[in-house]
Amino acid sequence: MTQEQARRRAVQAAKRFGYGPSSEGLSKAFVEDPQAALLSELRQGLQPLPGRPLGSSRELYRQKRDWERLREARAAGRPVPADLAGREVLQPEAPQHQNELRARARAIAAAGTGINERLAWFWSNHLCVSAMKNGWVSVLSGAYEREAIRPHLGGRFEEMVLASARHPAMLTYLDNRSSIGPQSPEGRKRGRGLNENYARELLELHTLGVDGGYSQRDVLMLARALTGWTYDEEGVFRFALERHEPGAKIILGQVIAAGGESEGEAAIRAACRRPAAARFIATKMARHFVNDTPRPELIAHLERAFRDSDGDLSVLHEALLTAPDSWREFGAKVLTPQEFVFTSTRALGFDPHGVDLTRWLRALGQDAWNSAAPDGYPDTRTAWLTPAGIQARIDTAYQISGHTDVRVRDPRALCAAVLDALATPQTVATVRGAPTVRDGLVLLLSAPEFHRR
Amino acid sequence: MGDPAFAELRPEALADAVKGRRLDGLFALHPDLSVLGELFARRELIVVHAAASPYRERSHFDGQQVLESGGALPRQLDTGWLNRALTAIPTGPRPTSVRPIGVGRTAPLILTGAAPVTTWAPPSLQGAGADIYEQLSKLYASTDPEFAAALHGASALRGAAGGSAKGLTRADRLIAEAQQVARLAAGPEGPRVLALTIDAWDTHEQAFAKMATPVAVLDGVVGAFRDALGPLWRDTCILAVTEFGRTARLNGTRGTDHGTASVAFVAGGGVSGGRVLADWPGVAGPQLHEGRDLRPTLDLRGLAKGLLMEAFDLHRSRLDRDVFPGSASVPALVGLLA
Repeated sequence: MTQEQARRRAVQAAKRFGYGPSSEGLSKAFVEDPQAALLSELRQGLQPLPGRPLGSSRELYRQKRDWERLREARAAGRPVPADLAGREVLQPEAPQHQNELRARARAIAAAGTGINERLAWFWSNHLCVSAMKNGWVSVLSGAYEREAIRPHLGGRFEEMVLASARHPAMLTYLDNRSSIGPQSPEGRKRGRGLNENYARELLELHTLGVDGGYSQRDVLMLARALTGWTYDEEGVFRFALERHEPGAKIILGQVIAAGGESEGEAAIRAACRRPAAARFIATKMARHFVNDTPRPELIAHLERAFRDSDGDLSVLHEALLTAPDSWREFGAKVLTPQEFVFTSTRALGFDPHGVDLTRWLRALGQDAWNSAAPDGYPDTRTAWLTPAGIQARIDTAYQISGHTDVRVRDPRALCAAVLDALATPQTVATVRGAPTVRDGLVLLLSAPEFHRR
Repeated sequence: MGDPAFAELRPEALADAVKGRRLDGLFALHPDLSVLGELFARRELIVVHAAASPYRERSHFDGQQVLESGGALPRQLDTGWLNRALTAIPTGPRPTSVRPIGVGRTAPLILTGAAPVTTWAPPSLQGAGADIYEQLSKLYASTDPEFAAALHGASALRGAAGGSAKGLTRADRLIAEAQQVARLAAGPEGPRVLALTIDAWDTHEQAFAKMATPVAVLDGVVGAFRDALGPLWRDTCILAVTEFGRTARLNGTRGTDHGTASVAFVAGGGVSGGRVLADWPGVAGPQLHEGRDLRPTLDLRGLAKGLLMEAFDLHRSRLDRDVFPGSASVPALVGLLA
């Protein structure tokens, strides 16, 4: 391999598995052995998000509840509740969302390539919650990713799914908090009953996949097993025995021993351990990182890693990096809008203080934790490389470029740092010929080789 | 509402239905569907009920895949039936002059396939200037055909729709966006085929409250097209369909879970309307599909085939073979257009 080829491969790997080179360009060590550098970064694991603590879901739940109480009192013309009097109580969702995004932009800018942050987005999109549901999911969505996804990135898949199942954001998003066993004491008293939304999506979207070999009866039984999984008035998970459907449950051919909360846990663990789950996860991961239609060998490689390790995600993630098929067909995918925004802020090296990241992501059609449906955002090239999509990228590139200090930025140098050996002569000439620094940055951020990975 | 079993299943809906427009002895419109009510009175709306695609499971994503691809099973086909129909039009508008547009930042499956399709989304940011677009158009043309094609599609649409939809409620914003799309469609270079999605029908809890927004959006979107298209409305046909209905009974949280058959609407100035097209299966216990859902008695493919035959002179054999493969046993519903 020539030096030129080695450099190309290194930039491509940094874009495929992370957020590409920073404004400083690739390190010498990374160019020499990108695979070793990525593995080392992966093994270091996620770094804590920089800046002030973002708040636990319990704290955020209280902020939202205080806001709702104040709003209701005002709407009804009642006096402000005594415990809120004299305090500044604001609607928390929008500022929280901005703070969550800024912390992640900073973490991505500071990382080697950001591979662990990429994985956090991958998994939170896999087990997605969406702020579209209501303000409670909205205020908790970042905390959901911090509490249910990030701590389990190097652990076992079933622990991540269980953490997701117990999180107030997911309990609200897919309605399990309000699902009540019709034969439970509370169901009988109040005439309430099941909501099978979460049980179905748990099997279809989170674990087995739609062809994963389950039936409507499994959905129903799983919904029954999960009755009582809810949260208390502080927004903290609680198993409510008085809502739990009594009786035997057979799920995926397995008899679940009566045991209240342990039934749901046993059923979720059983679903995560089915071979269909290994296959489903492997396919999604290969498609996200490598190719819209990944090679069967790559899927099989990841599937084996997942299955043989009982769903150990650190093993799966290493398998992704070491599979030979992960190191071919570079450029077959384009950055998702989220990847585009964070790759850009990292490339331009500016601090997002005061920057409206939400607006950019919204304009691009991919606000964080806000997908229209519980299968999360698409991540294929064909989904995002559309006329409206490309126009939104160029317009957002214009916005992003307006936030950088143009006096200290030379688009030509930045082009060499972040596109490195990927830059075509035409892109280099276009950036060089730009009439202003800002135009040069817009053109650089809009070049096809910036978006392909 | 004329089905005695309905009153037991959905007392609130019955109370609502009394306020809505009566369609016949059995059916009434939701009271918020005022535009649809006017269209029905003007004989420009057909209400279709107990209809479903061939899909019989309850996954949104598979259901949408079947509905939009026109296959008999999920992922049997990876292109959209409307796109295949465009390539099969025998005379009159060719696919290039149809200029099909999918609304949204990603292309809807129903319009994906061999016929070239573009996408349109309302602009929401102040964007780059014309000179930047010109530079990039040259750069893409010389280095990346896929980027070049996407940008070409965007350029054709830039500025054509005009307007802006800011500071509105969600329903108002979606309707304002539909007005922009409708203006685009009304222009001389506008699309002749257009697909858009109205979501938020997944009412797992508090179904009656949750329905208000999507119902208002559906009504407003149809109204936006009627108002913007002017004389073109005479030649317009809007087909509104969904991947599946909801459970007949309310679930334990006063919502509805994923079901089977549902309602569909055919609206437009050229529609032979003012009627309900339904072979009503009933909603009493044993009449329900798998004991829980409205039983399908009409195949949506037959509805689409009838419209394509009458609107585009598509031949039945092409419809059965290319547009909805394997649907020869599903009769095309004729007489939908006046």
